[in-house]
Order: sequence, then C-alpha cells, then structure tokens
Amino acid sequence: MIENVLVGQFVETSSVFHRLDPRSKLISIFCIVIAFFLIDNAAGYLLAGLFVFGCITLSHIPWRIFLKGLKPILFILSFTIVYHILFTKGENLLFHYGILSIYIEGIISGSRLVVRIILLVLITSLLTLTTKPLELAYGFEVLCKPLKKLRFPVEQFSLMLAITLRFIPTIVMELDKIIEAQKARGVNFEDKSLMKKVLSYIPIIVPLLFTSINRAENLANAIDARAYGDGSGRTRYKTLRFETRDYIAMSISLFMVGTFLILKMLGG
Amino acid sequence: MDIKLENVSYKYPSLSNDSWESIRELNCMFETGKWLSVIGQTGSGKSTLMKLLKGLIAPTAGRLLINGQENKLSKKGNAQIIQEVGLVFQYPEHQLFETTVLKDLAFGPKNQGVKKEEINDRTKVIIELVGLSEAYFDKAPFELSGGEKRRVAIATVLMMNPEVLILDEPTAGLDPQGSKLILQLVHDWQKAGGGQRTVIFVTHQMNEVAEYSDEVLVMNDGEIVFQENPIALFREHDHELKAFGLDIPDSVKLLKLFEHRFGKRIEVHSLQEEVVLEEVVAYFTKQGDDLL
Repeated sequence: MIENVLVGQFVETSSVFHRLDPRSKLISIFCIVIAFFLIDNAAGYLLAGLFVFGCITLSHIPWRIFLKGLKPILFILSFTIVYHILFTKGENLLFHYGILSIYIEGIISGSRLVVRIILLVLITSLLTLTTKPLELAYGFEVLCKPLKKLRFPVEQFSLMLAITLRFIPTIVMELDKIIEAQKARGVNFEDKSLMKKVLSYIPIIVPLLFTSINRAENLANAIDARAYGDGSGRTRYKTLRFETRDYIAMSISLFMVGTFLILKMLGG
Repeated sequence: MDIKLENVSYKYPSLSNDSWESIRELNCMFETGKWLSVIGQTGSGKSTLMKLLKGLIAPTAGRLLINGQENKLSKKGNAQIIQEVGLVFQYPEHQLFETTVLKDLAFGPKNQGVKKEEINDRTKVIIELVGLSEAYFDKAPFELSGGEKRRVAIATVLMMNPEVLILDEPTAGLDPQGSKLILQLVHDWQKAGGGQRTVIFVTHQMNEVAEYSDEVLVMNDGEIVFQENPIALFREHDHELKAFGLDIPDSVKLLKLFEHRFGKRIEVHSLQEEVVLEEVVAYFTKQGDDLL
C-alpha cells in the first residue's frame, strides 16, 4: 500500500524544482491551480497539458511515480466521467435507449473534468515530491505570518502540518504491518461482500488507532523533552531567501494565470 | 512439515528506480521438529524470509516447497497464506484488538473455521501453556502488563494449531525474566508436539540462540552465509560472525577464554550456559584430583 501513497513522500533528485524556495513553490502552485480552473477550451487544455508535461520532465522524477499517485483517484475519475455521460443534457444526441440518452456534450464535459483533475493532481504531487515536508511547513509558516496579527496561531499550525505530513508514510507503513499480521491470523481481505470487507477492517483500525495514539504521546514527550514548546518564536538554521530562479518561477505562474484568463475571454 | 527454499529471491516494489533485492537466491531446508534460529544484522533480510515462509508474500524468483509441494498463488494471483505456519511478528501485542483476551484468542481459529467446542478446548490448554490462567479470559488485552500482552499475542497464534511456529524477535523489549518465560513457553509447546513441531526463531540475542537451537542460519545482505549447528558455528566461525556485525554467546566466550589461557580444548555437547560451566568446572576438578 505504501508505494501508492504520494502525500508526504519526497523523492531526491537534482532538479530546479528541488532548489526552489518552498514559498515560491507554494505561491506558484497556488497560481497554477487557479489558472487551471480558468481553462474552458481545447487550446487551454493543450497548453496546460504541455506545461505539466514540461514541469514533470524538468523534475527528473520518473513518470511511473506520478502515475502511481493517480491510482487512488481512479474511482473518482471513473465516477465523474460516468456521471457526466449519463446526466449531462445537450443538443447532439449520440445514443438513445429507453430513459438512457447520451449526448456528445456529456462526453466532452466529463472528459474535460477528468483531464482537469488529472492535471491538478499531477501538478500538486510535484510540490510534495520535490519539497521536504519540513521545508513545506516552514514555507507555509513564513507565508502565513501576516495572519499572526489576527491572532491566528501560525507556528502551531505549521508544526501540526509538518507532523502530519511527516507521519503519513509512517502510519501507512504501520498499517501495512498490521494488515500482514492480521492476514497471518487468518483474516481474508479477498473475495468478500462489501459489508464483510468493511467488518474485516476492524482488526486493523483498532490496533492502528492504538499505536498511533501511543506514537503521538511519545512524540509529544519528545517535543517537551527538547523544550521545543509550541514552535513560536523559534529561529532556524536554514533561513529562506528568494533567488532569481524563484522570481522566474513565480513570474511564469503569474504569466500562466494571465494566459488562461485571456484564452477564456477570447473563447467566451 | 518440511519447508524447502530453492533459489528464492524477493524484491520489494519501490518508488524509486533502485529497488534492490531484499533476499537473493536462498537455498535452505527447514526440517520438521527442529529449533532453527535465524541471525543477522538489521536489514539482512530476516523479516522478509519470515513473511515468505508464512506465504504473506510470494517469491519473485525461485520456489517455496512445502512437504515437496510448491505453494501456489491465490485466485487473484496474490501470495497464499500457509495455514500450517504460525507467524508471530515483532511486537505482536500491537495486533490485539478485541475487548477480551478470550475473544482475541478465538479470532484466529474462527477465521480458519474451527468449531466452537474445539476453540473452547484449545483456549484452556493454550492459556495454561503461556503461563496465564482462565482468570485472564475476561480481561481486556490492553489492561495487561507488557509481558502478559506478549504472551497473549503468542497464544493467539498458537491457537491456530500451527506445525511450524515462526517468531520474529519475540523477546524484544522484554525484561530478562519475561524473555525467559517466552522462550520456555515456546520450548514447552514444541516438546508437547512429539517431534512434529518446528520452531523458526529470529533474534539478536546470541545467548538465546545458544540455549535452544538445533541449527543456526546466518544471514548477511540478503544471503544465507551459514547454516550449521550452533556449536560448530560459534566455535569455528566467530571471526566471520564478527565481520557480519554479530556476536557470539557468553558460553562460547568462556570456552574461548579458557582455550586461550590453558591451551586446552573442551568438547561440549551443548552451548547452554550451565552445561558449559559444568564442563569447565569438571575439567578443573579433574586437574585438582590429578595433582593430588
């Protein structure tokens, strides 16, 4: 299971994305996500697809890894496309049988949405695959600093985020171990009705909760033992500084937003 | 039940390109009725080997033969659990989940489709075997002490009536007395089987290996480097073991020290501490008698 979860998994390569400041990556990805929501014509999709393709190639991370990250959302994707094909009404009827009528518009809008989701997942995986969880949390903390004026607990939130990101793979690994152990005790996860399948997960959830709570307690003790406090007012060994490449990255993302906005206006 | 490995390799699926082979072309035999210890540094492939022997994973190359028969894959092409093998994982108490000890004990055999009366009979025998009593049946597993939890967890595997019991570092994190209790109960379980029960025991404690093993399997970097009886292994290959980051038992250290000081070799038939001490004392007594 572990190999299918991309969140919190960092892959070390020497690419320009790895060297970017986490803040510029966060800002850029945020812009690009907005840009992708603006797409509404074929030219836009083509451009966005090429952009994502280019980014992934530049990251030097094998495609295989990105494709694996898409596996868990296969269900959502197929559901989306089926829903659109069945329920979107349009003018060009393609197929009609009883109450079932399929329109070309349904197929198009379904495919558009699926492509958009895939592009979004790919580009956001790029963020977590090229940024260490701690750097990401630090970047987030610095970006959110202005919110401190509104009494938003920025440091605590960033610590929480860092811990969450850091422990996802650990907990998934623990989950794998428990699944194996219960399999060894005769639990069968294959060939079962849905209800039985759900029930067969009780022997996994209970021990997982138990070990996770234990782990959290130990972690809290370790944090206290090192007098870390709640993370506020701490200085860093590595401080963040924008380099030329960061400005370039952010300009490119802003440029993308602009382009898609123009494309949308032209299309509309 | 004999288990034989023929050129077995296993490669873990991995995110990055450099997925390495956790174990490489293993050839070995686990004979019925023996206590076989598996030693090796962390990451040498011991745990992977244990999972293969239970059928939790299928070899990526080579064959696993059980009584001469190859273990087939399931309908969906996954590895198939071997029912006759009981596997106790590291920290097995982490897998307890039921509200009472009794229910947890019954969980495994229930999954196997064992009848209720039979389960009842087994619980009574097994709970005594692990040194607890029927008074524990209604307790929640989470309110037991660490050592007791461990014993209940081992009991849940024994409940499934395995012919081969695999224990992956069963004494890790226990105090010396708790460790002794665990090993003694496994020993008692094996004795009660009339020569038909096999124990495969993974550990880092060389004294435990010396105390019980009929045979020792040494793993290094995914390969089996020795499979020998413990006396020959620890006495003849101590330098190689050190090179693999492993130690030798205290009893062998004593024998080595003795050999070094007196230039005399004492032959022993077991590496159990008491036996070795007795042999050494007997040697000196004889020397004293000769002098007189």
